[in-house]
Amino acid sequence: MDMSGTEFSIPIGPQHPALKEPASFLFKVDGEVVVDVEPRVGYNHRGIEKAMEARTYIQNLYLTERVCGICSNAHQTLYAMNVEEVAGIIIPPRAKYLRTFVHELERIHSHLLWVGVAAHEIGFDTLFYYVWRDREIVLDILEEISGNRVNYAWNAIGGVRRDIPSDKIPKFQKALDILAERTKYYTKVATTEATIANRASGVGYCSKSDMIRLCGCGPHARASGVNKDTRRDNPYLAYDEIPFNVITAESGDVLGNVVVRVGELVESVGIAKYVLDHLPDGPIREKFNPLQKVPEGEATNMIEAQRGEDIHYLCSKGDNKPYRYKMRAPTLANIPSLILKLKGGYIADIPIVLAGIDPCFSCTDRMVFVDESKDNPWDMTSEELRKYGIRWYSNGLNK
Amino acid sequence: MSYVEENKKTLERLVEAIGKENVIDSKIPKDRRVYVTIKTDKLRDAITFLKEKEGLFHLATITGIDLGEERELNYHLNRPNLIFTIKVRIPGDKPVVPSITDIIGGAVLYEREINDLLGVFPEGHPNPKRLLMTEEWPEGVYPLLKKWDVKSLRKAVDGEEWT
Repeated sequence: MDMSGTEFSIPIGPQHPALKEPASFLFKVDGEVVVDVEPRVGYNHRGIEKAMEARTYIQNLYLTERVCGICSNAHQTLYAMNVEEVAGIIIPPRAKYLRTFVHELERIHSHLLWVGVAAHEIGFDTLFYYVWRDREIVLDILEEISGNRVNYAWNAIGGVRRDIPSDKIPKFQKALDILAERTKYYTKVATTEATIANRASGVGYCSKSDMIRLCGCGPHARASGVNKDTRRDNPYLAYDEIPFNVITAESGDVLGNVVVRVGELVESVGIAKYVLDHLPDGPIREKFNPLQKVPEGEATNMIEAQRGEDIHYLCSKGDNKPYRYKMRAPTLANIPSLILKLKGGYIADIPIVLAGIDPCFSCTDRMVFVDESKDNPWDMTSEELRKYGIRWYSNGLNK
Repeated sequence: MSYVEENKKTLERLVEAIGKENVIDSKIPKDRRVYVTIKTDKLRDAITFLKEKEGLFHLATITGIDLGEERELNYHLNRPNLIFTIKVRIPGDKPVVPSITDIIGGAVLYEREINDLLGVFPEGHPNPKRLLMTEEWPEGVYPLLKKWDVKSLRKAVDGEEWT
């Protein structure tokens, strides 16, 4: 039977038991090629912005941390920065550095997580095990200074909640030295290893001009050659005092994503080490009364979270609760360019291209393939899809 | 020229380009921030000017606020050393705003989000479908409007009293 020219619709998502942030994509495919993609987000819409309007500034500090599991500290830091700006609080230099330290450690753990997930999707599980073993080093540091592996409750309005004792610093330096060595090794692996290059090169392409047009951000945009990093362009915390490089790649594909993220790992470890070496003395926070009213005003701030720029807007009408609080996480900004990356690609590339922007909805556990003409659905788990992708490439079916 | 002066110049050139009578308010509260309130019918001109002439081609997001009689939309554009916010006020009884998706492609999802949560319809949007709210969410219930609280939302959506 001639089936050429027949398009099929494949809904992917929204549920996934392992990863947070469910999202659904309706793929239109012609044979193996993805023709069109329709995204559907909102399955995790919890009404946090509305809930914040009914809570005090201190309560919201803990609510913002629960927006996301991986970028928890990024959202909380940004929230604290916004409230401090409107309330006219200038945080002490030591607090700035301590915030920067945890912000970078969070980036290291998130990027290591991503590299592991990407290696797994590629079918390179040796690298996955290595990377996730080394991720424990940074999680141990975070646990030791905050008591938690994720959701550190590190910020207070006016500074940070805890100090790093000076006798712990040599220990952290040593751990970061090990990480520095390991991340340099991963840079070498990502740029020279044929397993990665053969699978990721040219997959999920988006040009620089398209990325700019669709307002992509973060490592996803830098992989397409967009030289944009909020830490350098609109410096916040202590970033105007810390030397670091912005890593970009020109290839615009999944390989570019890998190269950018491992490159950023090296830079982030460098920043964390610099912060420990140059930690200023002094107090760690300014006073903020839990029921304090914040004067009328507004503030817009951006930070470079692990997945890209994160922007928050605060509008205060002089109450002890925000009148309006807006958050935009980087994943939403990256969906339009992600769709472009998926179009024209193969079904077998869907997991790795989705993983390319973010591990949040890298793949979904259950997929239903619907043959519209024959009313004949069948199921495929994410694991089966992953194996299908690896098998498809190893058999040279793409040739 | 330092970026502080450059940012001031950007605001001056925008005011000149769209005409002083179309600018309602403007302020520079700190070095890297500019806020300007303009008339809604000049929104597309202003965005086009900033994108073409001032290097503000990156739209970070659109914030919608319910101000009672009016709804305010904030378009947060940015470039190195500047976050430029354009504000427009839309009457609450006729909540329609011209879409800017043909000028800045990245606005596609943000305009749909505003339509979902605040009920401001982007006129000329290529695909103004629901983005965040579920299929069974009732028409006309825009949760970010101040008239809704947890109790009334619960009643409107589930038909149950909040206990």
